[in-house]
Amino acid sequence: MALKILHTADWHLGRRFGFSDEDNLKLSRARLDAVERILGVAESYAVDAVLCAGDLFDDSAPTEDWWRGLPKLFQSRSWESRPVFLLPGNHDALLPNSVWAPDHPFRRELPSWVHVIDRDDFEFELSDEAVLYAVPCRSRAGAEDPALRLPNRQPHDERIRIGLVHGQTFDIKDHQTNFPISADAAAQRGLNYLAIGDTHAFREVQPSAQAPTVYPGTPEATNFKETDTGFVAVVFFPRGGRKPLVNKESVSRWSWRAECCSSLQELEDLSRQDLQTSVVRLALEMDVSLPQLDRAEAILRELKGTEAAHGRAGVFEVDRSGLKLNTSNLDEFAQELPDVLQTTLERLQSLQQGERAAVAERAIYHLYRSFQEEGR
Amino acid sequence: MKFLVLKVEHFRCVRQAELHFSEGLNVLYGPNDLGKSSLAEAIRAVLLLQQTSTHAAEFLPWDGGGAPQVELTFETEAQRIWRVRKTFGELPSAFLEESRNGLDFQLAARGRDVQGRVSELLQWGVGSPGGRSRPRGMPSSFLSTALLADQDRVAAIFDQELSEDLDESGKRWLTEALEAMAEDPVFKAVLQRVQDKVDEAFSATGRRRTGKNSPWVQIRAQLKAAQEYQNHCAEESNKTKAIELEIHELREQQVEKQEKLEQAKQILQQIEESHQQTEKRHEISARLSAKVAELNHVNESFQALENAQTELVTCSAQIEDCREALKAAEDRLNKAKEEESAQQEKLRRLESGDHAKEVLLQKGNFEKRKAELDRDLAETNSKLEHLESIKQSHDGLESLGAEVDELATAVDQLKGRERELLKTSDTLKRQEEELLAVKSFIRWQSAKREFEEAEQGLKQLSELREEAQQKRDEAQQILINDSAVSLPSTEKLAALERLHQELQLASAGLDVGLSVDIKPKRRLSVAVSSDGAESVRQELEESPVKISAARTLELDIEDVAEIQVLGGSEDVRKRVEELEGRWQSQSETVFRAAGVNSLEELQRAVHAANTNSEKVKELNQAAGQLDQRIADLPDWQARIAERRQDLTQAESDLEDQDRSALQSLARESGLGTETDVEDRLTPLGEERSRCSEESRQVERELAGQETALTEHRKRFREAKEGLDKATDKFDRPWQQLLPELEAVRENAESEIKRIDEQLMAIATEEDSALPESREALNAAEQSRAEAERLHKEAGQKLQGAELKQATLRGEIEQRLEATAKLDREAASKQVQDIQAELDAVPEPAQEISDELLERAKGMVEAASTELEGVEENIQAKRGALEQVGGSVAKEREELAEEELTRAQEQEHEMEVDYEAWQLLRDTLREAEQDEGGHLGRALAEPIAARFGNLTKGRYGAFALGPGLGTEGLGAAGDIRHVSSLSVGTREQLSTVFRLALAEELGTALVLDDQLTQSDTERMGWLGNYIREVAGKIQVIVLTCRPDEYLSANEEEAGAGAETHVSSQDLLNVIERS
Repeated sequence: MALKILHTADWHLGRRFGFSDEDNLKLSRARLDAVERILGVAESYAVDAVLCAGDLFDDSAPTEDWWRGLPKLFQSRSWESRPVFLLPGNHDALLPNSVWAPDHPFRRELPSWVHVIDRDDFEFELSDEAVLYAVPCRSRAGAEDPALRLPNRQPHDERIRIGLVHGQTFDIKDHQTNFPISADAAAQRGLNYLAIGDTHAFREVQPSAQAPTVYPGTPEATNFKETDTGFVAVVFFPRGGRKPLVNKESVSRWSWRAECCSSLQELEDLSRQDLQTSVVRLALEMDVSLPQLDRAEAILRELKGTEAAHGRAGVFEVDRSGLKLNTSNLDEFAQELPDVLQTTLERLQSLQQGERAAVAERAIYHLYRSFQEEGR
Repeated sequence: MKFLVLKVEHFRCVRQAELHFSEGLNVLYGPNDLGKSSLAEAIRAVLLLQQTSTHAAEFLPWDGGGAPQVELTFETEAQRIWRVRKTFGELPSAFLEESRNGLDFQLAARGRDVQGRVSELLQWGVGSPGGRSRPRGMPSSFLSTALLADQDRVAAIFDQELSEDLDESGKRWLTEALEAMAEDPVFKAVLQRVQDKVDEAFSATGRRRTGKNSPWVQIRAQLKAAQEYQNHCAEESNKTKAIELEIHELREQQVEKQEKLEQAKQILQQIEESHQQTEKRHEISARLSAKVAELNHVNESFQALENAQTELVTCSAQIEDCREALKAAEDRLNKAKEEESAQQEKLRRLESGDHAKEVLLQKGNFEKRKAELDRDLAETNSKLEHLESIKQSHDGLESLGAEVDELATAVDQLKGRERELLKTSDTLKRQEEELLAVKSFIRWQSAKREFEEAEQGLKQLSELREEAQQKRDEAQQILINDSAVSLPSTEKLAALERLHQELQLASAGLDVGLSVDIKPKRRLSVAVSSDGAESVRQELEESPVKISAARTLELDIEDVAEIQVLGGSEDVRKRVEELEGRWQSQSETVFRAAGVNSLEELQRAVHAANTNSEKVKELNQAAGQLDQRIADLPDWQARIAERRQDLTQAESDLEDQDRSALQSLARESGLGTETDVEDRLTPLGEERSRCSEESRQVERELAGQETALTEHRKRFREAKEGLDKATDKFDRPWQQLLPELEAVRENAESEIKRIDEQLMAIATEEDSALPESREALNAAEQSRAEAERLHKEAGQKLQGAELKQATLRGEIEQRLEATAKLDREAASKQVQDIQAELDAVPEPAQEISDELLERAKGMVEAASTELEGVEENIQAKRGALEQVGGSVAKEREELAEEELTRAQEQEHEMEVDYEAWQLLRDTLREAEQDEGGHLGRALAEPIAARFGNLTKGRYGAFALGPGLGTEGLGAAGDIRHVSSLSVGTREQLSTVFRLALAEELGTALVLDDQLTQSDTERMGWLGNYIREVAGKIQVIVLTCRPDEYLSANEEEAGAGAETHVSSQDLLNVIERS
């Protein structure tokens, strides 16, 4: 084997998620944990180099909390013979005041074997047999194909030539300005492998091509819509100019799950699963009686967590709009109540047909819960 | 509230009084008429009545001295002491003073304002002066009635309720006081929990909390941050989108400009191509022209040779033609000369006499033949005329014969029609007769039915009369039977029945039951009669015998004694005897008159008489109804005579008709009534009239046609006879002769015409032969001269041709020499090649000028410049886009929107949750109010419990309405109104009610001699209860029986052993007027 590399991208360190602060922190930390696992994979495969194809930070000028952790991960290793290449992408573009700026403290804390691609003519000899070319994103958007800015293979150059850029390999209306990359750019430039980043799903652009162009995708998903996330590419380059082998390696811990429960049993079943490293978005579509609602609320509290206890789900959000309290038969409950509370219940039931139906329904549940706690 | 001091002056019978009240029970006692109730009234007046009220006139002192004045000092709560003083009468005044220590008072209100303030302090629902319309007199409310009890109106509290109050203050006070009583511990806990949750989010005024721990603050901060972030991202994204849009537009412009440039270039290219083609075509065309000219020259040379050669051939041919023409001219000349000679000979012969003779002979032969033919023709014409007349006669005869045939046919047809009409008319007549018979039959049937109906009616009439008479007879018989006895009136019978019942009841008092034990000491013969029954004698041995009866027992002991044992007391027996006497005297007459022996029989007889009377009434009524029916029936007697006459008439109309046949006919024809028959007869009559009319017309026509036929037949016979006579002389039918003669005539006329023509020709020839011969000679001479001229011309032409032939031969030789030097094919090929070259260059659509070419170049240059401008703009915008964020901004906007939506949903959820807590809290309170609002439920229970104690459980629940109106008291499983209670019980319940109410309110209670009808036991219980309540509130009892409330010691000491009991002897307090 002439060369082994690990190709990763789209770490999006410091990304916002729009959940509670605590949940946001969980997810943000999870991204740095993923980087740690990526470096572990690199070690386990004893790769010759680690190529990070852009969008490593979610913003080009992340707060210190976010850039500080990354050098620490590198510093814990002595990879003099295993260079790491950090490519600025469109999210963390190579801007004058970015984290990539030569005078930024982040740069100073990086070990010498970590290379920031901060030149358009970046070239690095990985070995006598292999060379890396890279072009960084200098802005958040660009219409030029960065891959075509890589140099052509020169006659008699028999080395393994690897390209590293960030952009998109399609050219549709809404993405025309986001660093479009020609699907055959690798072939055009005589590359053996084109390492790219941006798309969050693992994808080999033209599987039949002699020179693979690969998106490793993001190591941890960033939202519920994304699929095929959580991987890095470990690439093996045989000698003799043969086609490299691309190995898809999982590094993720978190899963994003959009779930829908239409019965209390389904909710019970879900609650029994291990959801500690899951981001769960649960939609409830069910009609329940008061005791069932009480049980459902208890489960939801377990999943979400309370002030006193962590939730059983890593991150949990619930859409209750489809959760309907069936109040057609509250006689049993009503019979338990003292007269005044019975009158209260009747009045709340009468409001269920009006504008404040949702509030009235919730109030009935509060009455039920309060009576359970105070009346027995 | 409690009362402290009451001062009264000149108030009714009280000239002056001053009372100091203690806490607890105050028993104010004194004899009747001392003025206790005046004191109670004085309290009412000072607290409730406006000093200016006319009602105050009732307070005027009996001795007439001084204006009534009342001053009351009372405490509403600790250190809030009030003194109200009112003077009634001519100079009314009022003051309200307030004090904290009961010593130093400050004026709080005076005059008109006093009553308003006092009402506020009391909260008794009596309203304020000038408020809602106050009734005249002493104001009253539920609480004033309850707390200041009126001796005269002990039970007034049962008739009053809060809704009748003048304002809501009493109800509010009671509600507040009784609500706490109604609160359920579970409810309280739930309400507290709910309130705690509400308090987390809402302030006491219901507004959302704004403190740092407020959940709203947290969620709003989150929402605000999300909103700001979303706005920021949206701004960035919008910038990106705007620039992208601009780039998109510029790209479209770019494409447009590129297309424009391409078009301009294409146009230029086309123009340049056209221009080049034109140039090339011009050059090729020039060469082609030169080569074509050369080729033409060659061709012309060859053509000239060919022409010369052709001309030579033609010339040679012409020479031959000229030679033949010369020969022909010579022949013609010879012939012309011969003709001239012949004409000269002919003329000569004509001018001699032989020819005239021949012509005359020929003319004579022709004229002879013509005369013969004229004769034959005249004869033939005569015959033909004769035959023509015969033919005309024959044609006339045939025409006449046809007319005769036509007339005969018409006559036959008319005769046929006449017969048909006769037949139809007969048929119609027959049908008419049948229908008339049916009509008569129907009329007969109808008359018969009507006669039978009349007979039936008459019979019914008779039956009804008979039935009515029977009913009357029966009624008469009943009356006669009933008149045999005299029955008593209903009233008299009822009196007898009452007397009989009385006797029965009295006699029942005698049925005490008798029993006699006889223990004979020797043998006895005893006749026993029990209760008036027939006596039975029996022989008694020594063994004892028991004889029983209900009322009387008679024993006839033979030879010993007659014993009569009677039951019942003497009074009863006398009463029975008296009643029996009355019964005997009253019933005997009646029974006799009625012919009965007992009351039962009399009752049955009266009942039967009543029944008979009803029956007589019914019979008379039925007879009357039958009379009415008879009156309502027609006069059948009169009608039956008319109908018999009608039937007889109908019978005679039918005569000997077969009625069964007519019946069948009517049934088959569907004829039920005379109208049906009339409906059929009418069209039948019309049809018959139409037949008769037509028949008459046919008869008239037939007569005319027969006359004409006779005439025509006569004329036919005459014409035929004439024709036969005319044709008798012909040996053959005249029809054959006619064409033969016409052919003869035609031949003769034809020959005559030919002879006339020949004769005409002969005459004409005679006139023209000589001149013609001369003319022919002249013509022959001219022809000969012409032939000579043509012969000469032919000779000349031949010479010219021969000369031309020689010339042409010389020319051909010269041209042959010249053409031998030319290559015609090579020249032609050159031309073809150049032409192909020219054809290969397409002809441009238009002529391209240099100016047009320059203009096209200008267009290309301008389009190129525009495209460069757009591309520069695109580059500039791309530069701008690189600065604003591109897809990063859009991704972040999407994320920010999600974040915002999530925050909004959380806020909404929180709002719903807290609003639900708020709604639950409000609803709990409303329910609480509703439950508490039913004040009766809260108060009734303790009252019922107390009252139950008092009455030892005799009464159940005490039902009070929401406004404390008394609904009743449970007794024996039912709710009874308090009015059904005894006076004592009512006043006890009233007192318990008042005490319970005052206790709940924690206010003073005045009881003015409430318990006057209570027994000792209950009074004792109530005394204790009053003492118990007085341990909590001030109770002032005005009474004339202090011992019912106080022990002897207490009465003497003026104060009870218990600290909360005090008493005052009002004799020592009240100074009467």
